Amino acid sequence: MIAKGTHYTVATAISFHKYIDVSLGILGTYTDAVNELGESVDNQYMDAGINLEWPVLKTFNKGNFNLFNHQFQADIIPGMEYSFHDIFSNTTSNFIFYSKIALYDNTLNRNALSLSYSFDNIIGGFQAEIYNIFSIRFGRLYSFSVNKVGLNLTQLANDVLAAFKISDEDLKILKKIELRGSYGYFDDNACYALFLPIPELDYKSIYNLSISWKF
Amino acid sequence: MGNSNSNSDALKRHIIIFIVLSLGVNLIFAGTYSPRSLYGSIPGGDLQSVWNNPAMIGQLETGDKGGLYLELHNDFRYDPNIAVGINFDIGSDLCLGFASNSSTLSSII
Repeated sequence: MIAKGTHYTVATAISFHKYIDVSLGILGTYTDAVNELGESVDNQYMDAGINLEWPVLKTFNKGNFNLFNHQFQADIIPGMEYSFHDIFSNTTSNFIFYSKIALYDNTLNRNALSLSYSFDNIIGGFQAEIYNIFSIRFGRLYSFSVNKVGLNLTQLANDVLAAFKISDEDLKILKKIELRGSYGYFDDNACYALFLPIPELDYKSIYNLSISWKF
Repeated sequence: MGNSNSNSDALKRHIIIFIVLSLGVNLIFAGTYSPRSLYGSIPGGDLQSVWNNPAMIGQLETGDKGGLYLELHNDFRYDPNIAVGINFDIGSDLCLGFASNSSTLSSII
């Protein structure tokens, strides 16, 4: 039989970005579900957490260099997230650690390369992004394997049009709107089944489309 | 020239020490990992979507006052999932964000 649940989440976070990036967040979730016996099941909880990132080389004003007439800033960015799940009843906590190697192109004023690896003691995932256009993610994240590639469609359009000498003024709209898409698959396996009381969901393709507007 | 070399050596030394310490601390803390909860989300999992939500954190650049964000996906084992968010630069290097999402999970028991 098919069990179904709808999951509603609201969240707020405040973040500070200077020598160190610190974010504090709180999230509430309500789930309205039907279990395998056809009974209605409601569930609600609240999570809270902190996320920290430290751009080490930038802090010490190091990592600047020139290459192919571009001025770059390299950085090593360790980060961690510590969160508490269900803070009012059965509280559990979890660390996720990640390390990033980043290269910022000051000449173009955008990220040239970002490589990150996240892990706790049983999971790990690798993520890379090149010139804010092409991204790839693979590895074990959140107890199942996620593998996908993504494209920042507006950035790509911007670069192609700029190559045809379209003026920055005409491309202004593409700087404000960002359309991203990604496609890939996830693969459930023993690790997932070990922790969650629902059966394995086999291979499934995943997609994602996002649009954002800066004002 | 000599000064530049010694600065470079010092930087290399600092980077190596930092990597070793960072990995060491990561491994020590990772050992204190608590079992994941049994219902749907994984501790940190939902919040991770908040940190990664560009409306919350990632999108603001110098000169921007804020951002709006809309996302559709079937990621994270949920069926069609919609997320919206908004964030604001509130000054003093602070950013405030709100996000919400709705998702449906179905699984064959």
